[in-house]
Amino acid sequence: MIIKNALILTLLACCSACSTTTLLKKQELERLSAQLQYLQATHTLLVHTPNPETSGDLSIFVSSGTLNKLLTVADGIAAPIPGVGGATLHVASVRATFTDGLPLVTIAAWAEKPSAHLRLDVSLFAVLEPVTDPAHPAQLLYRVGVRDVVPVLHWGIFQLPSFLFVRQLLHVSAQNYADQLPAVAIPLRSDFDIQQSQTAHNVVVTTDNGGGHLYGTLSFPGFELRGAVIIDNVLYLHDGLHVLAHIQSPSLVKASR
Amino acid sequence: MPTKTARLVTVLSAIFVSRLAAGADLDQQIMERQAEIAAAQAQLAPLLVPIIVSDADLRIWLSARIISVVTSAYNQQQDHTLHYQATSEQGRLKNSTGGALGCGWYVDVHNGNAAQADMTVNNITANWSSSGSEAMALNFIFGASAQIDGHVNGPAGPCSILHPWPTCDCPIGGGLGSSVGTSANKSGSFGGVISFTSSPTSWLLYTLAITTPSSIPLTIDVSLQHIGTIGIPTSIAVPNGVVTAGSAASVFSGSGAVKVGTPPILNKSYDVAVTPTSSVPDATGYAAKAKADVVFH
Repeated sequence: MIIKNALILTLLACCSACSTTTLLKKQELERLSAQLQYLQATHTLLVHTPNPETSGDLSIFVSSGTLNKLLTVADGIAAPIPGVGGATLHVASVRATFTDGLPLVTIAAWAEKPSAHLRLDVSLFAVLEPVTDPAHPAQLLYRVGVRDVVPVLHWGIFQLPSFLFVRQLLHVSAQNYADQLPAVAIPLRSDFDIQQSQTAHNVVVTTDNGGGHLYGTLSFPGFELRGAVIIDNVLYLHDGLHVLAHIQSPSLVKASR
Repeated sequence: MPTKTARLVTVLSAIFVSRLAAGADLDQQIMERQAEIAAAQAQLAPLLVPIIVSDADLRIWLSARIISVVTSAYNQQQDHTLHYQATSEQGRLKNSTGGALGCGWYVDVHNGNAAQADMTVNNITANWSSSGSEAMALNFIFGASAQIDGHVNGPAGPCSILHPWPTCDCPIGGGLGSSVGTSANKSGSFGGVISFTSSPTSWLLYTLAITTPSSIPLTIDVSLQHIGTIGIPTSIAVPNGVVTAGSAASVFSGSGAVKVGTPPILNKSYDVAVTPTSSVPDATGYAAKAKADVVFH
């Protein structure tokens, strides 16, 4: 009887471990498939438009390293997991690890249920997603979008309580996890502004075959030209993000003399 | 008859085996996908070479075309006039040693400062060069006006016992003179060059230097009583060198915020301190690279 029960428990444990392993593999396959799809799309774009920044008026590059400096603010953040009583999501780090075309984000996180002495690493398939903020139209706003969440459950005979915790975590929507992750505002200006200040230069007029001089001042007017920056495309490459834009309707907004 | 336990073990074993099989299938798919990614990356790599930035935190690139856009916008404006105002005079506008009752004459700008000019730069054309300088031609129309005082020396004759010989320097009331307004016009073209640099406060600074000509000859025609119609040749020194400078506001404004959680459990604003590292002009435009340090508040 004891042997039979042990066998059943072992099989159950194997199944539960296999289940999370399979999910992790599925997540990995999903991530790789997305990576391939975006690589191919980027290839198609660059074949048709080599060096696409030259087809616009300006481009702005922000490195992954700079983005990661911003994302460090989320390091060590912990927040309750909605729908799982007493559970907390701990975010060790969020880092941009763009592949060419896919704004992939690597998140080191774990879920914890202190009352049951449970702790599980959580594997998240996440990307940076651009969002619009009507209150700040000039800002390039990104939030971390979570595509898939899989708790990491290692194989073992004593994992049944964890298996139940896994099931609870799997039932939490990806959005609820995303809500615990950072949103980054990259402040781009929506206007292209060129300012030239008023200047004056001394000018001498020579007269009387060099015998006379008329001294005076030549004044250059100041002006300000302003146009709107229109974002055409954003490329997510392994070095960071490239914002491609053009400038619309530059016009004089101020003249001074 | 199998027992319930045996049946359960059989079912679980079947699930276990099927999971293992599925896992192996996934492993195979993952390996295939990784191989496809490696092949795609190899194809993509040469296309990325001109785009990838490996030596900067921030980079802003401005197309050579935008200079034409800006000059075009400038040309369409009404007011692009350079103003000249005389402030003082040394010597004469023109001095004659003869004529005018025998003692000659001279002409001055009234009060030494009654001369002004408006130089309308009505068309700027620009040609981008791969050196990062923008060769420019500034077509101008020069319209000058002045109030000219004409003075007649003399008349000739002895002034006193101390000046018994005929001279034109006798202080006998300043001689005859008249004052008239006059104007002169000239058109031409300046050659110039625009150069670009970056600084910690502006990612794009530009200077406009006039390189040619060094002077503009201008003859002012004036008709003065007792003197007649004269042409006063002048030469206007053109300030060769940087005559004006401007800046473009950074497209990256340098302040932002990071929020964590919805509703936020953390909301931090930050500033980005930008340190320009290089300015790289090429045939396509001008690129300014910078190092960025993030400071959270």
